[in-house]
Amino acid sequence: MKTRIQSVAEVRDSFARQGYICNDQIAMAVYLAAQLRKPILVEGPPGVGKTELAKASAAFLEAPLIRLQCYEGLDEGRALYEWKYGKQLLYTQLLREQLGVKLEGAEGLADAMARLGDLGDAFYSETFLEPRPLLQALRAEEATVLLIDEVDKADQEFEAFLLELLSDYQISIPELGTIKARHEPLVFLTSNNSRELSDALKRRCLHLYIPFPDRALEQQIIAARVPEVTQQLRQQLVGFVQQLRALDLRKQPAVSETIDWARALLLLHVDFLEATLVENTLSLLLKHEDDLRQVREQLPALVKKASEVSGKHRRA
Amino acid sequence: MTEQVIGRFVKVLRGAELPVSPAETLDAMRVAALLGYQDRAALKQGLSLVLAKSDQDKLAFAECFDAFFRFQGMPAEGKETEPRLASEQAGQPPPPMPISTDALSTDTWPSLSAGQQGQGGGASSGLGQQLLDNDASGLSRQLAQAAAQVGLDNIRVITQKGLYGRRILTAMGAAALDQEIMVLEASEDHAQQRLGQRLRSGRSQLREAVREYVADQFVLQAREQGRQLREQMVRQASLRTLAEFRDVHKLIEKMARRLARKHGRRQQRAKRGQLDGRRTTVMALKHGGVPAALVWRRRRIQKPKLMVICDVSGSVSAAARFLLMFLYAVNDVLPAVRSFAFASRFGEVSSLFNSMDADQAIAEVMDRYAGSGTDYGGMLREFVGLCEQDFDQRTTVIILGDARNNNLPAEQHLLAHISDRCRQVFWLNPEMRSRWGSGDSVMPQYQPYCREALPCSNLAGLEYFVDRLLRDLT
Repeated sequence: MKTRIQSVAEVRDSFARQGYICNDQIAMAVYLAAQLRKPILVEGPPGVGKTELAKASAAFLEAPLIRLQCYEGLDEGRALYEWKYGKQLLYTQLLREQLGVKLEGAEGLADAMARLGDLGDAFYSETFLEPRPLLQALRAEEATVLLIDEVDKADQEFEAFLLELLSDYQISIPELGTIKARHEPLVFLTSNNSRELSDALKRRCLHLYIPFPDRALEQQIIAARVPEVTQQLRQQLVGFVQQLRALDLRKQPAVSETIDWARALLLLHVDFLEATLVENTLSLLLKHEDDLRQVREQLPALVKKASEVSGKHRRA
Repeated sequence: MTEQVIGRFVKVLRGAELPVSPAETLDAMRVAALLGYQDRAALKQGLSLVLAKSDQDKLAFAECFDAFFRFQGMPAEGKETEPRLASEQAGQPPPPMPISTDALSTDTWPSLSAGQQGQGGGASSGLGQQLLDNDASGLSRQLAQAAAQVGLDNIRVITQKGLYGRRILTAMGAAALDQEIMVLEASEDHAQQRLGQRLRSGRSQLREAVREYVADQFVLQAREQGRQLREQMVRQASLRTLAEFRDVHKLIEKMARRLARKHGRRQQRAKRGQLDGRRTTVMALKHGGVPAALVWRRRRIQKPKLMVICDVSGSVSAAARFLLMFLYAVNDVLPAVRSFAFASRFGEVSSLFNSMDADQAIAEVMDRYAGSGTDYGGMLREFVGLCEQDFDQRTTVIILGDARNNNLPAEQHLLAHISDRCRQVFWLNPEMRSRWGSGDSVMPQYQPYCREALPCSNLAGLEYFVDRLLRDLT
């Protein structure tokens, strides 16, 4: 992993080269996290590039990305390590004869136990250990970027379990003892705020809130991600999406949806927005029937306004 | 120095209800040390990452940051004040003095005790001389020093602002200045009189500056403590007098939010149940009968049903108002609440709460049902008639009232019937326990059929009850 970061600007420029356009606030978060060796908790509406941020950071720091997707019911067995039960069972079956030979002629239970004792912890050793993402990150040969995605989906217990990892970069496993990170990973946690995270977790992290981008930033993002789109269309489509976000919708269109839409328009060889076209492709932006109905009603006005706004921009 | 600035800033943030822990304060110091104070925007971004941990907090943080670092608290901003001084010298009326909210600038300068310095020029008092010289930075330093001397940090309530302002002026040596102005203006010499007038206008500017400074400090430091004090008082105040307070509604919402968060969480935690033996055995088949993976039985969450009957006759209507506010404020956790009101007559009011916000709905209820001559027996009969088919073992009935029955029959067998058919009955009585059963109160007849009968005369009592209720239901 790259250890020396000169400045916030370096982070931002590197992100820009990868096509991840961000403001100073985001670059500052990555810079501070790398300097202070602290995890970052990233919150914000879905589709603003929280997961992308971790990927871009991994590329910037030249470190491998290890990802743990959280879900309801995720436990430490799935997140940290597990014993390979199947393999253990198979081995006991296969080795039964071996064991039989070893136990042959044992006098009494105590003797048999003593002989078995020679085996040591054969069945609970590295051979049968299945490392899951968290353990992988701790035992990696080089520092990694660890992404714990959608931590709000996991249960309360799991969140508490993460605390040790986040503050000391170590984890205690009953059978193996405390495992300390060989190289401290840079940890990203993302949350969609489906529930309030505990204060203890928040206290250990830098907290970054990524809102929907403003008009200028979103245009930059589109220019970076879908460079083939003409400037006029870019202004219009971003203007349109920004207007949608101002409406009272059940699900607001995210940046990723703007990008999808821009790609679709490109595929259709569109140069400027018009109402029928927008109506036909609207389902790329809006994912709820109610929202679609609401927007269709005021579609001509919205499209007109988007074109006007972009025209004004151009003249200016 | 960094530690001091950050420490004071954190105090301000806590004043604005941001929960900043000592560990986060330490982080903030590391960030400040790393970024320095030169780039204000960068410092703001950096500190916001470690000090504000939700999007609402970020807004509050931005406000506090701008207010706190508005003056020359940061070295980089010292430059800005110089052109401002130049403009003053060019004859324009001087703008309000730039004032340091930081005590740190006093450390870097030799201590100036007011009234002993600078005999040259025109004015004889040090303060007067500084006013004539437009020595803004010197004055602001002295102001901060005087504020520390009189203990401005101890300001608690808004009415103390004048008092502290006067104390600061005295500490800065205003007495000598007043004396001087008086002497100058009384003199025959025109030059002296003009000087006196200039000093007079300087003095009023200084007073203005002190007033502003105290107001700022009050907002930054004392708001929180004053609020806490008030909140404590409001919690303990009798419900009947509570309507007179302004932001009770906000406080109730805050209390309710806290309860909802607390119990909402537990609702999630209660999902793990007992071992599911059957499915564990099925799953074990693939490991040759060894139960390698255990399967847990999921407990089904039962949605509780709540029926609230409120007496809204004169004496107890205040309590009813606040109970309803509370119950509808926690409706994330308790979605199915049916409410009934009665005084001289009885009726269901749930629909009012569904169609408008709690405040309006309560006003409407009071309008329609308020009256006197409560008949609890009649109320129970009507309630059973209206809702009997909906009673089941998930239903909790809460009755709020003083059980003063105007010497009518209590008909406690009806309550017994309700208590049999429902899961539980709670009774909240705004009167003290010692008064239950006195006069026309029939509380003792009802009490045996209630799972619990509680007095509730203030918000603290209500909060306790709702907390207990939620623990029981979720």
